[in-house]
Amino acid sequence: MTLINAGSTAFEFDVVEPEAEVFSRTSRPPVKVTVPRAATAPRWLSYVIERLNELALLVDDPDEDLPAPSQAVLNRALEEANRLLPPSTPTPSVVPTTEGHVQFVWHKTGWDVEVEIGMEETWVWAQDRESGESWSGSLDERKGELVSLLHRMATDLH
Amino acid sequence: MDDDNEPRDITSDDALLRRVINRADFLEWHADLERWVPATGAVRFDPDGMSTYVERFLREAGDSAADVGTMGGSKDPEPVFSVTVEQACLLDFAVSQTPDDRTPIGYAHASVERPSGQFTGDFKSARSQLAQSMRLVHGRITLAAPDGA
Repeated sequence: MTLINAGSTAFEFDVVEPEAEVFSRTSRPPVKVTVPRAATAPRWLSYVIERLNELALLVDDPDEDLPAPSQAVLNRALEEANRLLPPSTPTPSVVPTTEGHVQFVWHKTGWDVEVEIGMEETWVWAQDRESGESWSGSLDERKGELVSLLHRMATDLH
Repeated sequence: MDDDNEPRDITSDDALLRRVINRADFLEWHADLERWVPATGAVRFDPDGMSTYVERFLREAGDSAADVGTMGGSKDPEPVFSVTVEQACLLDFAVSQTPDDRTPIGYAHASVERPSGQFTGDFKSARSQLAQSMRLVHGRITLAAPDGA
């Protein structure tokens, strides 16, 4: 049994053996995560892991000016997802940035939300499209607002 | 044309075309619009601005959005998105024709330049709005929407 904290909530995952290798880039050591039982898996988990796997295989492309995120950034992205996103959170897009970071992005419920994970820090930016109200800052500063917004998005699913 | 690479006037009605690679690295799912929009990596600004092509100039020379989609030797045509000069300027971006003789359609090249002096949050807002203003005008996005988005 694995406990993963998501904001003020802790939820449980049943571990299915064997553990899965998430990142398979040959030159990088694999990172292992436990795979939750399907019935209790967060709705975003499968897609986020799939995308992080794809990003692990990304090769620097000078023509597209899009550096491949490092292993450390990919690891942090998965950790932050597990820490921040309640199971009912809508699935985000998972994209690399020109700084070599990983970004979780939602355009939902009238809001644009970006959570950008770097080597050591995580930043948040959000904007209400109708009012134009926006806020941004480090995750430490904005965690409460982010969790509230994610909850609102999750509620909108039903 | 002898003057292919001479800058010409761009009007607010002109459509700017940008190729976006058909991969989840370059596209974000917009749940409210129920369509893909260009991601950060596809709406990026180097010191020369964001590279686009003026549709009118292409059309006048007998080219089209299809030529933008096959730039860079893409085996399969990539999706091409369009945004008007007016939409970009309303978000405080500047647009200028910047002919580029390194590509066959470089005569139609235009740069969208990042507003100067903006705070990061304001720039993110402008860039996000610009991306959401962009419409797919050529090619096809073959990605499925993320499950649970």
